[in-house]
Amino acid sequence: MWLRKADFITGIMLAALGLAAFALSLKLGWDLSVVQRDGWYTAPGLVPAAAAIVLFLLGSALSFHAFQEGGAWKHEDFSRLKAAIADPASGRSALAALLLMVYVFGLLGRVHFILASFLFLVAFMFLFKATAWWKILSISAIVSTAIGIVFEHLARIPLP
Amino acid sequence: MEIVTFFKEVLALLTPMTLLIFAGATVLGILVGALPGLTATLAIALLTGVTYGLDTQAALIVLLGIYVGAIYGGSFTAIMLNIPGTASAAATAMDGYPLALKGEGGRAKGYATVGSLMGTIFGLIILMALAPWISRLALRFTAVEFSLLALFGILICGSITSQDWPIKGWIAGVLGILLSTVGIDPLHGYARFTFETPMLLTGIALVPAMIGVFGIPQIIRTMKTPDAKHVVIAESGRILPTWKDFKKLIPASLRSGAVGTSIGAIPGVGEDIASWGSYGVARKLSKHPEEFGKGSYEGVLAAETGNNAAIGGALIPLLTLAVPGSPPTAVLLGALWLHGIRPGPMLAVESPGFIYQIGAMLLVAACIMSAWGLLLTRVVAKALSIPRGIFMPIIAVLCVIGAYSLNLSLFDVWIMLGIGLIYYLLTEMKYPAAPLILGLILGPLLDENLRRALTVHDGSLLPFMTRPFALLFLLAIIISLGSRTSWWKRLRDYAFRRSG
Repeated sequence: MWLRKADFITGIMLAALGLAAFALSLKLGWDLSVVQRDGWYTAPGLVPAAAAIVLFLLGSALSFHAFQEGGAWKHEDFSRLKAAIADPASGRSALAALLLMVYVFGLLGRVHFILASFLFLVAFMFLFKATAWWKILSISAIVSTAIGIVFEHLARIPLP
Repeated sequence: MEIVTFFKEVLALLTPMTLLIFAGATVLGILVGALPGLTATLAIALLTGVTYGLDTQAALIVLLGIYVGAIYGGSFTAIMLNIPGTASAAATAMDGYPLALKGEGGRAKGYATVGSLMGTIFGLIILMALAPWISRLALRFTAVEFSLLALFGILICGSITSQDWPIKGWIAGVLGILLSTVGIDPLHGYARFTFETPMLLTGIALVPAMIGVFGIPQIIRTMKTPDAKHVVIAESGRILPTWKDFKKLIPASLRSGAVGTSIGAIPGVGEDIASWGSYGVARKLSKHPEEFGKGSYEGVLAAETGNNAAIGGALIPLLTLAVPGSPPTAVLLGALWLHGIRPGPMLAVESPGFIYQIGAMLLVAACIMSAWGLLLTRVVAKALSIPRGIFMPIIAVLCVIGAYSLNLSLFDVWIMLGIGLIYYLLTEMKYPAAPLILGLILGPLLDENLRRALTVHDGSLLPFMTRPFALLFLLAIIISLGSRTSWWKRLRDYAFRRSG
């Protein structure tokens, strides 16, 4: 049932995305002189516009089918949703996603790659209680340094 | 003549250095395949950037070795733990684990090894037999056929790989097409969906997107549940089947090879479905169908032959039409492009020996994989004891390097994570990943060829229905879409009721 409720919302969002993409694709080079000469069907916006229309139709169809199969939201669903979010499994996946975001958007490019990776590995393993703290520190130090050295010096990839 | 070329290529690969690379790549592949949460696609995507600096032959050996090894490696955990290391080994677990519980795990692994070896060889034979022929046929294709072929590939992949409604697969494919249009338009040099961001002018890079779609959701999903203590059923007794036993299973193995290769050749479908397809056909045609699911060697052999045969099958459309047959070959296509190899009909003309070189690499990789397979049980069992809280963040670091290394761009890493996080939510709602990537790969093929075809034919859609191959693709598109709709099912039920 949750899947159909999610489908109902997602379908609406996809249909809206399709409409927005269609509106944007109407501005994509339909008035270029080469397009005026060769025909509208050579315009850069043709395929994006067609794909956007198809996305709108598919999103609408998804919402409609989900609605038919009980996808409409009722008042009590919101309290059940809160309970689902509070589930430990949701918490674990949210934590993993948050750590990845901090690593990629917060650390990389601001501190050296080896240090950024070390901090990420320590935080990840510590928060997920992967093993003993001294093992976490040693594994993180060895892995981040080894990856840094292998890629920077052997594969000659300048790291961020 | 082709056989001579093939064996010359095999002999050329038998040098100590290449064998060493094969050995390293296949063992890495087996470990990747065996570890739940890591897939062949992710491993190839991660190593595409790393192997960029190597010469083309060495890079292909690494990538194909990992591919062959990883598809086989999933059978280790399927048999020993009842946890398929890769989705393509799920069918193997159906009979492999019951056999392990009976104390015949070693022998089940032997059958899996023989099946994987035979499947890979079967697939490469079909690849070498059909690819030159399909390439010659595809030389007659014009922009009309290529645009329809691209559309067919995306839609059929969406239809088949969706675990829920097929519409979700089609949505993923269309999202991929839309993403592929970001950047400079190749026909007119016009910037599309760039929002005045210079970094978007070159478009969404394929490898970061693939790492995002296949890697990030996998990391988050794996961390969702805490580590569980698994009972590893160690091997015991004889490993390899006797010749007498094996002879009985040859027809079943050939049949599974044929099913696996055929399913592998369908755009974007891949080894998972090939494995289940082979398993299903084997059960249907077996003299002992009642043994399936309770510990049938035939079942193990069918599943493992099928998934490895799909490798050769998936390479057929990749090399001849530039349409990947499976998610790992989609990544491989990106790797080939990076090394200046342009798969498609012209490949057989420009590099006639290339297909045989790939065939030779698959053969050597399969032989080395089999040797490793019989030696590695203890190592794999040890690797399985590593908590996921340790190896998943390490994979995340490798994902970052893989996304960054090709263009040395942090923006690519942001794209990787952004797409990955969005796709995690979509995969939770059962949207398949393969059609999105196929849309991203085939989108430019569709875009350019559709507009070229319309330009050549003055905007007329008639050639899309009058040219024989175009009509064939158009019918295939209509059938692939229509066969998943309710009115088609009603029509079929009605027809069967009338005839029955």
